[in-house]
Amino acid sequence: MKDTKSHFFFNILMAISFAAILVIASLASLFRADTVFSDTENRNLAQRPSWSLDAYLDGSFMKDYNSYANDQFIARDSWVKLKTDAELALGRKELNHVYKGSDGSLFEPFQPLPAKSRNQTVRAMNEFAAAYPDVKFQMLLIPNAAAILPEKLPAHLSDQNQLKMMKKTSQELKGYTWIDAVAPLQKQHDKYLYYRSDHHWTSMAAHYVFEEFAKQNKLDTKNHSFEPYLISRNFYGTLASRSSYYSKDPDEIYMYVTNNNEDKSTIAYVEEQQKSATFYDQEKLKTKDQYAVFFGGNHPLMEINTTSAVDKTLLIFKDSYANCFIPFLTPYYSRIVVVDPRYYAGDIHQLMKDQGIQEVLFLYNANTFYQDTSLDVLLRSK
Amino acid sequence: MTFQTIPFLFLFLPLFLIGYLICPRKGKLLILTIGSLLFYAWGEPLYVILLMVSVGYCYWAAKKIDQSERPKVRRRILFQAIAIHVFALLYMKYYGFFLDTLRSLLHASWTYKTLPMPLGISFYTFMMLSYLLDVYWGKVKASTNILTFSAYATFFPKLIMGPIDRYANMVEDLEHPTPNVFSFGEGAERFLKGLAKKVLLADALGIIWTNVQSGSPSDLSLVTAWIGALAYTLQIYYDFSGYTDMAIGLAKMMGIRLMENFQRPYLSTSITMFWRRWHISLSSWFRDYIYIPLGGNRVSKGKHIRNIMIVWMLTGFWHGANWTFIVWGLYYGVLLILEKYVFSSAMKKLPVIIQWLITAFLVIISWVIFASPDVSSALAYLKSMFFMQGNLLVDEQTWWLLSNNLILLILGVLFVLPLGENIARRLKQNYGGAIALNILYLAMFALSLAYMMGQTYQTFLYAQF
Repeated sequence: MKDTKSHFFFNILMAISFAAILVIASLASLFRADTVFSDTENRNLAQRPSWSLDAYLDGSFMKDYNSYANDQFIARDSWVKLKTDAELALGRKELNHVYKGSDGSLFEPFQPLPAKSRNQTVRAMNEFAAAYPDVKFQMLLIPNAAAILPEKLPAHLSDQNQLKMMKKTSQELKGYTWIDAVAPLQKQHDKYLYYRSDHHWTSMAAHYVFEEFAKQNKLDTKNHSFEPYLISRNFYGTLASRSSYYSKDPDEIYMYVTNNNEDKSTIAYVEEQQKSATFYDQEKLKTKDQYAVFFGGNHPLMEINTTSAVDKTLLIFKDSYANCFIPFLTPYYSRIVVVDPRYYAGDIHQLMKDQGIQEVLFLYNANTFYQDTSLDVLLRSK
Repeated sequence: MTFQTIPFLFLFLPLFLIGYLICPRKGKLLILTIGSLLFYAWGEPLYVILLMVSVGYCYWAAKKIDQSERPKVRRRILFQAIAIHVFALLYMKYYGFFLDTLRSLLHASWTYKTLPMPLGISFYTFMMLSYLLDVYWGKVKASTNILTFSAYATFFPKLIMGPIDRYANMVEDLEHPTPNVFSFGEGAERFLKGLAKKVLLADALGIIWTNVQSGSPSDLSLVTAWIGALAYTLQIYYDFSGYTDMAIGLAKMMGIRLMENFQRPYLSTSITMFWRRWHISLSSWFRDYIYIPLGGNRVSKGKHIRNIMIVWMLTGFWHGANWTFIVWGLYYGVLLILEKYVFSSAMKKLPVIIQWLITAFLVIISWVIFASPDVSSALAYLKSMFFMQGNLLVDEQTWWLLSNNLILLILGVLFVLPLGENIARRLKQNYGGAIALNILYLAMFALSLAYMMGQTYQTFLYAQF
């Protein structure tokens, strides 16, 4: 082919634009101040790795430098968003291991550990319950959005079997009262049960499940009614961060409060050595992770003293799903001790004794329960 | 360091290019060598020393071979140099494989330690062997400038994954490069094309293959198995030819020409043609340094068939220490023999589209063998592709894969055709088109950057071979 003038013109354009981009982007990232935390991605960004001969020789310096250069690239958020837009344009329903449902709801994939590890957790729970014959044990396992709202999942996503697995667990647990969260949630499946952009359930869902809990425990709820109260209408949660998919309507967060101040309690965050008179840390509504408005996030050990006249002490083993559920329990227990096994490293038998525990509740969402081994480790520790 | 990373694009490349292009001609070779060594050291902090030793040794050996009058000395030095390099390659790449094979043959139970394989060792070794043999055969004069030779041996665009270009082809350009704004623009165009092939097509297609392969190969529905095989077929092409485009583009920016390694291989209408168009520098290496020295086709039919089988077994084995690669190589050996001696006239009578379909079919089958972790999973996978497992025609996984990737697969198939080139050529014919094409390339660059940023880094498939 004969090179025409316009062909040369194209080469010059290409040369100038490519060189300009290389130089400008290099200089810009050179003089740009590093960011510590990405609000959009909800994670700490990699920082400039420090040079050492060891880090060079084992290659970790180069690896870290690569992450650093990636994370601190100019306008990183826009690049990530551009990628998501391109993926959506290609018709993808799976964005960075998050499924985008028909109405824009986002779902976590259900990735249980192999049966061996799951069975170990159940066995540890059974042995733990058997060691305390005088204590009442209850299990409240919350299904995740994908299991309750299959109609919203993208088509042809393979069946995730969560409900089947939960059913099996309910049969394997010995010495536990199983509180069924599936039926009450399925009954209300057209309600706002799960945040569309976050992996948590809503306070409304927690309230429905609490009603079931109350029924099973024969609690008298007539005099203790909770009312929803909107505290945020601009919540984009972890799944939005992970997938970089931000739908037009953000999630709303409600807190449920009683009309007669019964839920006024004091909360001691034991390991942080802090106290609080409220369950809600409203400062967190200004951050990215607004779900942390409940108790300010997860804590290894919390001791809650309520104003309840019922002199009973409850111990809860839990993950973050419990954080919006616990307030509903305050009228029925004078004292609630809350352990998050993922962060708690104390002696659990000592705790049972010291606190004079009369009832134990395990409250987990299925994803965490079947993925996490810390509960097994904690219950087995001597 | 690989090309599709931020540190390469926005730290190494600008600094290197400025240094190289501004520097007067005499210093260019030095800058190129230092740059290449730094490039290699980024990925191989220790082996870079081995590389330097080997370069120095090959330089010395070739010079000795050239200078010596005595055939015995020449042969001895050649054999030494080849033996050392082949041994290093065998030791670093195949040691574990040999011991495993021996162990299962002898029912023994020993354990051993292996060294991690240096990046690009297969490509580099073949480059050095070709140089030493060419000098020995008198095809090329041994280099008398250590800088020229080191720049050739370590030339960073091709160091990791080729093309396995010959010294004779490159020496003139290395010593007298002619960088100018036009070649820089052409190089940038080629580089961006390769980058897009790698991060936009190859990596995305790779996700399909990973997904299909994550389960048991005997449980796949027929269409799912074919989607997986097609995805890998496209992935390996875009991955490797994308790398090669970037390598050629980078060299062009410096005013140096590198040989082409691909000529639209997937449009081939026979296996013979495919291997003239796929990884050209490797097949021509085997032709010149194994096949022809064995006598090539100027021998009896029986020996010719033997020669073909030897070459293809070695070609397979070159790709890695796994029986799958050997089977893959032998598969091609058999196909080439059949094509030559049995089907050649029959094939040519068929309509071109049928010839193409048969070729594409055989190539896809070969990639399944190539990509499987072992021979038995390859067989299980192939059975799934031919309805021999009693599985469904389609299942939910098929629809899920298609609903997520249909557009990607269509794009992947379309760009096998010379579509992009034709559009580009049209647009370059007038000024408006040139501007539009420039914008198109920049948009593609932006999208590539977005994909680089938004995902964990994917290495090249051929970097493991």
